[in-house]
Amino acid sequence: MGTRVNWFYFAAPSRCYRLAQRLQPWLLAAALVLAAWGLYWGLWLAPTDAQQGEVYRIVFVHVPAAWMSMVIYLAMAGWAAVGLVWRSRLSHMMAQALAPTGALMTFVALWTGALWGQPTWGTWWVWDARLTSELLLLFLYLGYMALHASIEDVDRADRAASLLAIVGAINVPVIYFSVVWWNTLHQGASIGPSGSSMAEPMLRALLVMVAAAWCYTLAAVLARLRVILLKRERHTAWATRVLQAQETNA
Amino acid sequence: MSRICLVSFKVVCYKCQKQLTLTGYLMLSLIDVGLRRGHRWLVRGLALQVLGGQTWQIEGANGAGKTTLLRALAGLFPLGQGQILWRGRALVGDGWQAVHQEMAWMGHTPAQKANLDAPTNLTMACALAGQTVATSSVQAALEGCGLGRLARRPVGQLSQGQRRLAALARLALPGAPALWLLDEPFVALDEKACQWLQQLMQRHVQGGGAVVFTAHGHVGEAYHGLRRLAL
Amino acid sequence: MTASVVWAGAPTRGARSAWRALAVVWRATMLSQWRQRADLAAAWCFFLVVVALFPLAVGPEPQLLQRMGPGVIWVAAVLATLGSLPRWFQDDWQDGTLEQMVLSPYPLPLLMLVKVATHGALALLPLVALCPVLALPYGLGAEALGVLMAGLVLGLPVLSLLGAVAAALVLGVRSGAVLLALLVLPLTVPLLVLGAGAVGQPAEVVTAHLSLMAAMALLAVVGLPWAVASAVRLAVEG
Repeated sequence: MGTRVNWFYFAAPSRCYRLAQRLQPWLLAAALVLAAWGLYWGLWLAPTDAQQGEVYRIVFVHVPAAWMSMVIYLAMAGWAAVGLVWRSRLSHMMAQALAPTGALMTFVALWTGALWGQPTWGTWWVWDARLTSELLLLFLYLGYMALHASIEDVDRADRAASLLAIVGAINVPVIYFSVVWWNTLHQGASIGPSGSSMAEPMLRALLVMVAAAWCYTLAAVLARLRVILLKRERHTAWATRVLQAQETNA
Repeated sequence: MSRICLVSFKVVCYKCQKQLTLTGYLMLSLIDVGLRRGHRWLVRGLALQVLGGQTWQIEGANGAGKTTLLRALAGLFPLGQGQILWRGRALVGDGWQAVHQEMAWMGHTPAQKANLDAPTNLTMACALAGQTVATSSVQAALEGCGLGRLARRPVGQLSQGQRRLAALARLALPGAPALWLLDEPFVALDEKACQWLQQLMQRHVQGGGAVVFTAHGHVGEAYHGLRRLAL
Repeated sequence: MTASVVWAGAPTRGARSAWRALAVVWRATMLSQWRQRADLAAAWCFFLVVVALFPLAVGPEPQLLQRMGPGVIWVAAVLATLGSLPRWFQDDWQDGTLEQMVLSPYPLPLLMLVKVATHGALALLPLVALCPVLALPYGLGAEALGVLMAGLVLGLPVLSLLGAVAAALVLGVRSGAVLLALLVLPLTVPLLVLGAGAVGQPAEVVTAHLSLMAAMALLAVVGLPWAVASAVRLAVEG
């Protein structure tokens, strides 16, 4: 018989803080290395696209950001559900830490999508299915953050925002498919940024960039989680020790 | 008067794992209960048994957590730690629905619609709580607390004390639930109304019910059998 | 842990008493709406004004207006509902009735479903009734009008329930009304796409749209009252 896994080992704030502290530098380093490699591969080595020329290279930033924005929302809703079911404050704090990074990824996806649209179709904004649903996802993130910030009692804010995240998560597929439907209904057969298929070397560079985005996300979220932990648990013994240690080091 | 369950059971204390035998009309058991707001613990490590036939007064200074504790007993406020058992059973999932069947809660604001008169409000409150009452008993209850001639007026036109009395009259109706949780019931009541409420509480307790209420100071020095919990 | 319980008598709870409890919720809601009937009428007038303003802003070209009409009417309906949302739970929350509903032995999602249905019907059905009047300035034919009204009626449950979840979440929050718009509007996009997009399409497409909206309405009625109940419990915690 092996040892039983204690799934709640890191549910204690102090242990979670130490784990985040240890993982964060490695993740950041990995993100930088992977991003440098991916960008070099994508911007220098990958061949020019037959249809769109050099401009298509923005896909190496746009697609990872768009994917991460959706994954982060699902993760946020997942942690929100865990927090509501198992009543753990740390899960709510994790969801709170995920939200700003998710909003940032969504914003980057929107901005790079606009940059892509300008040389290709001559407009700064295209009402394409993916860009429109990214815009709505940004509103969902902003709504979550605004609700959490405007309720004074932190525990109630946690649970209210988590409920909102779950309701939003159930709606996200509905919204996405309705926007796709809307697009086909009104725009007919226009080629959007989501329409192109990728050749092999481009795909590999894209995957490297996606890995870089994952590492960056985890690093940023863990850093934010540490700050949230210190702020919320500042009255406990372990937090005062950490803060004092930081003060003596500074 | 309501009739309540006679319960005899063995309970395993969830903290010390010892088996206890409890008899009597057990209602609420609080085991190692803690309540927190943010990072501040209002109450910690509270153990309490509320048996039928007991009257409990929760007293304390302003902000000590009296109302919060009472709301936690009613199931409105979540516990920071510990458990509340109802008749020996842990309250998980739908457990609270069974409790609410046998519990009457009177909060700071009397839950009344200002446009409606007192009897209609009472009937509505009883229907919401699952109590069936006849019009005659509603009228009799209002007469008993001295609001008989004001029964036709919309509640919004009554004074605050009269509104509270009209809400408390629900407790005088037949078929009233076994456990009463009253938050500051004596506030805004005059001498006569206070006496009426105390008599009502005493009769309920003698019939086997239980009352838990909050008040600032000492209420009813001549109140026999009053147990106090100081926060 | 063993327990032997002898029931000497407990309050009776049958189907009739459940109906009475639901009737109480309905009555309390109607009362609070009656007290705010000026606000309700203001929401309906807001709807009319918005719909009247668009042609002034974009020009009287009939073809443009005919294309825009359904979309404008749908957005105006959503905005009018949004305007009335903050007051759905406010009254009952302030005088303690919402607390008693939470403490009722009857399932809270069911009570909330009745409450939301009453509010939604009062806020939205008059707008649906006003649609024939609005067909004239936008030049919508009888068929288009029928599709529009059917869409509005089918979208009513989803819109009211989503709005109710948001309204219950922002009860007692400082800038609640402003926050509501940010919370509710992104979630109403499927309704807008399906409802307004159905008008002017061939029959099969219209049936598809309306069937999808009916499916969404059924799912909302089954699933969302639980979310409304959870949000109300959070608000009532105190």
